[in-house]
Amino acid sequence: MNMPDAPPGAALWAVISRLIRRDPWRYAATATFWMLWHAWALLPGLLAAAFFDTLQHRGPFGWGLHAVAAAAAAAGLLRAALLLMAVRTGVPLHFRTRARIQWELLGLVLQHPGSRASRSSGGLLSTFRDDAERLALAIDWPFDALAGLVFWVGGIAILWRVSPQLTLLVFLPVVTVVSVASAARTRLTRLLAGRRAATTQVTGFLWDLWVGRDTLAAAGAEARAVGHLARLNVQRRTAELRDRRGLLALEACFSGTAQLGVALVLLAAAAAMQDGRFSVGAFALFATYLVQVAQYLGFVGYLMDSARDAGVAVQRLADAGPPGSAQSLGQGTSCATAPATALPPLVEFAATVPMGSPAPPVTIRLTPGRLTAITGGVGSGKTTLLRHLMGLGLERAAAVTWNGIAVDPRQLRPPHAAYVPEHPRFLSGSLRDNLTWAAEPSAQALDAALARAALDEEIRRFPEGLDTPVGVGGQALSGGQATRLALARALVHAPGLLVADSLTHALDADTEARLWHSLLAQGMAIIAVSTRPAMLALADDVIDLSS
Amino acid sequence: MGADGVATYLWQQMRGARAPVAAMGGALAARMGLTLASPWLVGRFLDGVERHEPLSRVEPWAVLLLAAALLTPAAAYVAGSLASAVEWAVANRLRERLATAALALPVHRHRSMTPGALVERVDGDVAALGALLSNLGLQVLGSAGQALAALGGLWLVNSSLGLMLAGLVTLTAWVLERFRRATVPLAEAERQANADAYGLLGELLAARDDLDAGGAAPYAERRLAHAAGRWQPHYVRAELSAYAAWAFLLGALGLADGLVYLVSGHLYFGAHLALGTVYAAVAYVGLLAAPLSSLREQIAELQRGQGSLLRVMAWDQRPTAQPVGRCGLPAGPLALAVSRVSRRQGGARGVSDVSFTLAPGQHLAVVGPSGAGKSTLATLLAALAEPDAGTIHLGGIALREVDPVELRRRVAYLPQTPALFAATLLDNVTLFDPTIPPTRVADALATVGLEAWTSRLTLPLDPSMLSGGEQELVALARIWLSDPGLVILDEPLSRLDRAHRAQAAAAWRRLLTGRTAVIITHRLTMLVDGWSGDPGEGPTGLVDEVLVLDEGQVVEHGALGPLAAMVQEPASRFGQLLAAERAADGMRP
Repeated sequence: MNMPDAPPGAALWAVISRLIRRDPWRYAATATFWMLWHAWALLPGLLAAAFFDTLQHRGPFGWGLHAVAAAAAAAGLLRAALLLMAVRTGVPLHFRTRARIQWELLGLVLQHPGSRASRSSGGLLSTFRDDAERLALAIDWPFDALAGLVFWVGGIAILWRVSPQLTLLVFLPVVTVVSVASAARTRLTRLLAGRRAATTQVTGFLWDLWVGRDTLAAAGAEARAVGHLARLNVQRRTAELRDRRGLLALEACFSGTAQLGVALVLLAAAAAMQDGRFSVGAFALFATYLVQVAQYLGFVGYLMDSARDAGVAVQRLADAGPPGSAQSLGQGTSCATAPATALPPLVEFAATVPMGSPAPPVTIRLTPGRLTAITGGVGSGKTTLLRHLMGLGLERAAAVTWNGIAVDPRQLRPPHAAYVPEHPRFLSGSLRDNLTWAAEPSAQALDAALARAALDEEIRRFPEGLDTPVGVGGQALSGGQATRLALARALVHAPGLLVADSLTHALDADTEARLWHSLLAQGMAIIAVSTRPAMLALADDVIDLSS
Repeated sequence: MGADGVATYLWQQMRGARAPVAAMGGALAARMGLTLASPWLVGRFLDGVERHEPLSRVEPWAVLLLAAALLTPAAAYVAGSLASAVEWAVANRLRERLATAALALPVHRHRSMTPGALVERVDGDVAALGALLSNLGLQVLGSAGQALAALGGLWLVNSSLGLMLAGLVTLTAWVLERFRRATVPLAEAERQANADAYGLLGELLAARDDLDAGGAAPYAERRLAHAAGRWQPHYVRAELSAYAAWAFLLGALGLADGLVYLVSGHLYFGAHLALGTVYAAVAYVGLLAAPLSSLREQIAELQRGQGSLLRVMAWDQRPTAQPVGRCGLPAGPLALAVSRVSRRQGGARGVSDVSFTLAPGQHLAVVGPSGAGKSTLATLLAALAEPDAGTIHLGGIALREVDPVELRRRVAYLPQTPALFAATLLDNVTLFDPTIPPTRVADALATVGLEAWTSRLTLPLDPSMLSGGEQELVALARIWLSDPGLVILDEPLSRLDRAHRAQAAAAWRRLLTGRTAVIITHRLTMLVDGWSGDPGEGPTGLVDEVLVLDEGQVVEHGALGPLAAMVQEPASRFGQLLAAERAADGMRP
């Protein structure tokens, strides 16, 4: 992928800091409570030391046994309270951050066709689901890391005061070994990328499985398709287990080394303990901190895990958007909401659409009231031509002029221009919901569009009229109804330019001819794919892609 | 669903993985023993030091501790990797089972569920469930075991101390379990809201080109924001309830620390306990913290997982055993008899009281305005849906009496939108049947005019790079591979253009010769006037009979020739439709 993005690390930090700035107060509150929570970890060692010192009549502040026991119980309650405070702000913050990432990502995907051309919906969905979650978790790092540092420095200072020799002899070496092990984790990054790819394959195939259910059922191929799923599952399992085993081995290193350290402290301090220079309280302090530091290093490992996860996630999110999109994440604005520049009424339209070598580019010239028909064989690129013209294609950009002025193909949007795809998609909701995507049209405009699309009589027959649900993705509609609904969706804003893929299976020939006549009479400029002779005869220009 | 039901279900899922589960149990037991040994060894050491025994007497305790420190993580590693292996084996098998169950859902339930929601259930829910299994296996059992070992250690140190702490832990566990049960509905509501939101997101992503071209990106973002708004309260409630459980546990652990300090301190001052033993007691209580804390993470997972588990279990019900037909079908083209068949299909779609017969080898065109019920009829004939009333006989045998394998082999169905899969071209044509030799697949592709593709059989196919016509031809090649006695084609001609029609025509004629066929189309002129649609070329000979459907009912049925001749008859619906289409096609400026 050749994108001029900053290295993932820098991009990640930029995104994190922008996400934090979206909600700084809630973030500050959450960070404060989590940092207190982490700093609390210094208490148990001190309490244990106080307890054993009290037993040997050298407790701090002249505390008795009851005071130490009460302090230990109070410390537990304090910890619970800190946790509840932290999550009260932290949980909504996490949800909003994740929702914001997904929302911005949707804007990116809808605005940049390159981001979606080669990816399945299932694969995109897994980016939206898992990578957004990982990135949202990553905003916790700055305070997690800071709190860790506080605990570290504080812990070493306390131990140093007790015994500089043992701190140098046991504590630091043990901690070094564990740190080296935790650095080894970063090597697992590559494995993770493979793991996620294997996951995407599974989710993408599940998607296809559901969409192709009728075909599989009619061929009795359900079991075989599930067999294919099983093969993909095995690949994913292998990748997952390899990664998991690596992590487990490192975790084992962390926990084992701490116990090892405790044994070493005993061996090193045995003589000093016998003559009372090193108390049982001091030993308890060392033992507690050793175990805690190991746990904390486990936590560092978790941080590094989530760092590499988030790094991979940002990379994948960047892949989902155009070059530079990783930088734009977290800005809180969606590129999709940027209003298209208003275009004047169409007088003259021209476009040159590259078709990929060796085919020459196709040039279309059009004025209001005229029809350019596009025809050609299977796979000759009729749909591809329209998609590039509308700026929906990935690799080649069409050069478009509107009244002689060059415009971005992406400005060919309602209300100036509208597109009717061959296989339109809809969203769950009513017919009306699906007609009013771009803006709320007037009742007259709605009626007129439905009549033109030859959908009005059918809708009158539906008991719920325009409030009839279209089903998931529009599946309650027949193929013809779906295309006519898409036609109505396009006509509802009375665009100056209509770009339509084949309507053959939606309209009978008579209706189609009447439709084009009335739209042309109204002064609309039309680019339409058709293979119907009558339709080609009606056209002012015919572009035959098979030649 | 009672706890027994859940436990039985989980145990059933582990079938086939019981050997690794047993090995995992062994590793966990070893870890438990080592856990118990460590504080005791430290206690021995400290007691020795306090009694001023010579270093050579106390140091062996520290060396033993060293050995335990090396063995504990090894046991944990073994248990952990076994648990992961079991988790993935079980979860993957469950994914496959759920996918099978999903494919067997009746048509109306299929239509009401998004692919995104399916992915969430088969992948997301199962992943949560897999985590639940490995938690149950490794962590819940492991943690509980470790907690028990710690309590056992305490009991050995001092029985009243052991009893006291056991009481505290039991009370805590009881409260947490009550809490967990009370919050299952929260977790379930959250998973549902989660699935709804991702279902919508899936729809938005599937419709991404339409949304972009329709200038509807702001609309899409509003819908997504709205769904997130509905999900948020459920999410916050579910998460906070899980954290509340953890906070409760932390408070209880603090209490346990205070308690052990107080009691063991008094016992020490009363000279009932040596200092090393006090240390062991305190360490055992400290050992409670880790397993109980990870138990709380597992409680959160359990809560997430249990919501998933209930939904997965609801879906994983064995389908009520339908009596399966046993009859074979006669060889060759199949006769078709449809008698008073009705089916409502939501909205105004559906068919009512449809009857007709078709002799073996005859080809019937079903025409009519869109929404007339043509596609519904096709799904009924292909046995993808069952009629609400009426019967369908195939080769003289009622459809439900026919052996299902035989039925799928002898009846081919090409839906309106061809389905493609992110797999190799070979798998796409054979529908994952490895027993079909690639040479036959290549032949089939050549027959439908895709001979240029035969060199790419084993390469992955990217469905998004194929044009509508190419997708159609791949689907056609599938049918060519089987040897059906009845072929049902839903709008097979809609995506084929003139240039490819002649080529397709030859393929069609070869495909349909000697088979019964039902062809849904609205290209009437093509039936009557020939492939080019120009009058004068003569009929294609593709169909023999025509059936006109309108609003779910048969309004006309007869041989093609006489019906086509009725083009001037206002009484004939077919004549009207044909005349209108001819007039439109023949129109010149």
